[in-house]
Amino acid sequence: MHIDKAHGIPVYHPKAGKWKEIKRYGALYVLMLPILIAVIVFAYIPMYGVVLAFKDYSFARGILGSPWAQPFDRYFATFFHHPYFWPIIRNTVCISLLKIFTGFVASVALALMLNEVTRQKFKKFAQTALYLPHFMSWVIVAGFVGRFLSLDYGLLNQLKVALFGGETVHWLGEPAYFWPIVVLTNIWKEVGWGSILYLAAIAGIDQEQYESAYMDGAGRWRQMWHITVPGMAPMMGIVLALSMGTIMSAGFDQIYLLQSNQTYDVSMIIDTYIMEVGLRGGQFGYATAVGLFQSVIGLIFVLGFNRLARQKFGISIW
Amino acid sequence: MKYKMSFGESLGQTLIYIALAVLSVTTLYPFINAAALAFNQGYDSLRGGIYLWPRTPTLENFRVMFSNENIGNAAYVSVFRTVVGAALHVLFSAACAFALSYRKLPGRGLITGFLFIPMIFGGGIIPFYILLRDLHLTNSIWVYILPYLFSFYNILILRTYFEGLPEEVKEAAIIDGCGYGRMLVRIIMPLSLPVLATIALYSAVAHWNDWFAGYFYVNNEALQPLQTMLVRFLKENEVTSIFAKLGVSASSTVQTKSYTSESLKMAVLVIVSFPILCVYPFLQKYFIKGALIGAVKS
Repeated sequence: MHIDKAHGIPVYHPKAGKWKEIKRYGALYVLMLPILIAVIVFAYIPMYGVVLAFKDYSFARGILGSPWAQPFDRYFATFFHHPYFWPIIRNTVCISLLKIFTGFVASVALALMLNEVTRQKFKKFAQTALYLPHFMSWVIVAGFVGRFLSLDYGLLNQLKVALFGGETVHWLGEPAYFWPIVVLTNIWKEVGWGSILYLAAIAGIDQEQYESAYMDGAGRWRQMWHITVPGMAPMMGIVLALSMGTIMSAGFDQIYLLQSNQTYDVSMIIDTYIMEVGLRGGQFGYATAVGLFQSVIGLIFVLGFNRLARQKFGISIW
Repeated sequence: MKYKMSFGESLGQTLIYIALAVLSVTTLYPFINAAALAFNQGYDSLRGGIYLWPRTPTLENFRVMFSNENIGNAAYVSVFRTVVGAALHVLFSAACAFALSYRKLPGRGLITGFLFIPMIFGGGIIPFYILLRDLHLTNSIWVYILPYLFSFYNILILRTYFEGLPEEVKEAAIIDGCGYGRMLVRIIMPLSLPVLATIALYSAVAHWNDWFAGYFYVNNEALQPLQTMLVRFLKENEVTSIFAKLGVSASSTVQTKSYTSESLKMAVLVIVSFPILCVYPFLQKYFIKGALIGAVKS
């Protein structure tokens, strides 16, 4: 604030005040510095690398010095005309959707089941056991799966031969079994953890509803169907809406560790393809282009699904 | 609410208990089985029949694993990145979140937005890798720590928590002549131990479980963590592979004495999953709390 000489009226100067404020909070800015630097270096600088999708990358010249690809959308054209293009897209989307929906149904069912358990000790035990696989890396799970499905000493083959006779099956080598294996192992790993959110939602349901339902003569099943499930509906909606945004990435770790040469037709997803041609094959420009394609489509999905969710159900991520 | 259940409901409840029990067994069995195999002599395991306990107990598998210098290096890398990575992650995230918790801070919205954008848009794996290479991080252990210091999600959780701390405490500190830095360390952080512990745990687990960075970004075998070693070990049995192998681990093809590549694999599996198995039951409530805070507050 200073006096305006011409008119003799006090004038408020926001700028002078702002600098003072910034200086006053100086230490706070310093506190943010490490994170800001890390973000600039590891998140924003690579963003510029997206131009690689349009350049002919030369290791000697670096990203800036490399010439533009002729024609500039060469990589995209190559990708779209690649014989594996449709299988890759199909695998990615199908595996994603399968995992999302089966995981969703399984977690909801598990939450409902856990809710019916009255013995606290058993409930705690079950929860502890079921949350455990979530904290193990896919490396460990793949190790277990490999052993379980093993040709020579796998438990599954032993059971199969004992119950149904016949030969042992090379489960991980058969394309037909790959998607089921992916889906089932994903459920095994994530169903417990996934149920946490739904259990929280259930806990938020007004208990009086159950009492009045009981007064009206409704048994547990009816109560579950008419009270519990609708009570979880908002949470289910949010979880589904958020999951839809991840359609373009079907879970690199799991797929990469479980795939084999025989199953490539059904197991190759966008992420594993980018790994193969990019980090292994060294085709940086091409791999970046494919990655860009994946991000853009993914973004469209997130925005589209959010709009749909907002219009139809009134829920939104932001 | 106690009331008499109909027959159908009793049956339903019994089935639920059975189903949950079976499910719990399926999640626990693989670990017990792996431990049984790891403590059993490899050649004996080949005969089959090892399920819940070893038939010919031995520490041979572990002895071989620990005497392998690659495993020793890998263990060091894993522990280093887990401890240092989680500690720095929490420290810097808390500092940033604390600053952002001041609503009057000029530029607060801008900075928050600045931190949010990378969540929806990024350059992708390839430019990230090129950056790591140009920064010469690909042959340094810091490649596992520096790029992972930042998580928008965690900063948001911390910021929300700090905002919820009583104003009187912060004001009293300022009146006493305390600078922001000291306030953070001496006052705010001790008050926030549960949240900090939760974030630290999540970060630690993520670090311990990460096999990807070591597998794809680092060529130097001595710099690869345990999980990466395990992946190479598992992939070793792939007969032909379009993905070229990173290098052959000599120890797994040796088949003398009583161990087999299978039993060694089991030993590594046990070693790698052991820390989490130990820590998990005690810290379970922290993990759950973290998940709920994130979901409910956002």
